[in-house]
Amino acid sequence: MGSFDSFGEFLSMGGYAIYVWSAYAFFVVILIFNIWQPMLARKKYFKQLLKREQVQQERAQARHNQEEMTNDSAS
Amino acid sequence: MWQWLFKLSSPKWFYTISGQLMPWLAALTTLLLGIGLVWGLAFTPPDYQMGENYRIAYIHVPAASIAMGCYYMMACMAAAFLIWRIKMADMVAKACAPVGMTFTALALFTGSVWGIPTWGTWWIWDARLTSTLIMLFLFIGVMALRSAYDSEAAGSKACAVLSLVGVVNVPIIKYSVEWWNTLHQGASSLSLSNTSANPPEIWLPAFFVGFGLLGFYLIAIILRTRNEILIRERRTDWVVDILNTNKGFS
Repeated sequence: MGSFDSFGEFLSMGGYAIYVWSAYAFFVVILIFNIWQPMLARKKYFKQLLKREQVQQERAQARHNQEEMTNDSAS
Repeated sequence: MWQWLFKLSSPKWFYTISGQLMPWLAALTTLLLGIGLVWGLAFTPPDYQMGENYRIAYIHVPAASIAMGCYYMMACMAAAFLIWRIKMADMVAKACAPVGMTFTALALFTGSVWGIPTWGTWWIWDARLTSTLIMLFLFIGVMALRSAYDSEAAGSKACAVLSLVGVVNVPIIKYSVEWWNTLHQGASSLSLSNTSANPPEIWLPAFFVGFGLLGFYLIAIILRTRNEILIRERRTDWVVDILNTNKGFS
């Protein structure tokens, strides 16, 4: 393929395999990190908002129940 | 042009347009990076002195250029924020720091790895390497400074000032190979300014990777900026609508 005679030769990079492939591996890591991290942050943010809303609803529900109980005992 | 910039400074407009632009940008980036990487890794002939090791340059040179461009962008946004108080500029500046940090780290790492067999050392305190390391610390410093403030406004202002002070470092990186007698070589045939030294099959893959990486850089900035918009504008009606439709799917 291309400038190499075989796939094995492509992998060995003329003896520079460890340098070339570690550089390209780090390149891929940087690419993945720059996409994955903001997407994860977005997900976390939505989850956090959902949780906050649920807590607020539960509190409102609890307050409502308490009011009903006091009304019941009053009557 | 000015009207377009003015519109872009509205968070809502930025969010909408960037959302529509994203799939096209992603497709173009994938295509350019795919062609450039396969071409550069497998099809260009080996260098007569460095053998196959020079293939690292196809990512090293674009990563370093974009890292410097990212710093300029962060400084411009800082200036726009300080002078005109544009909130959007500060959000983009905030996104620039982590992205620029990773690109600078990539440039330093690929350069070091290339240097081991070529120079016989992975590090030397030469002007270009040192000034690039300073840029890495500036990006990290801006991030640390922002997180050190409890008040959003005070943090933004401090970061903007630090970004502007640090901008003197970028031309030093650029011209270090001309001003000082460095071990790092001068602008190579993979840079935009000098394409005559080598045949096109050597430098063309670098252009594909370069523009592909530029597209990727924009995507990375846009993703972070959009998150920041959702956080800072969470009380506005249009963001509340977005949040309500998205919460269930997270």
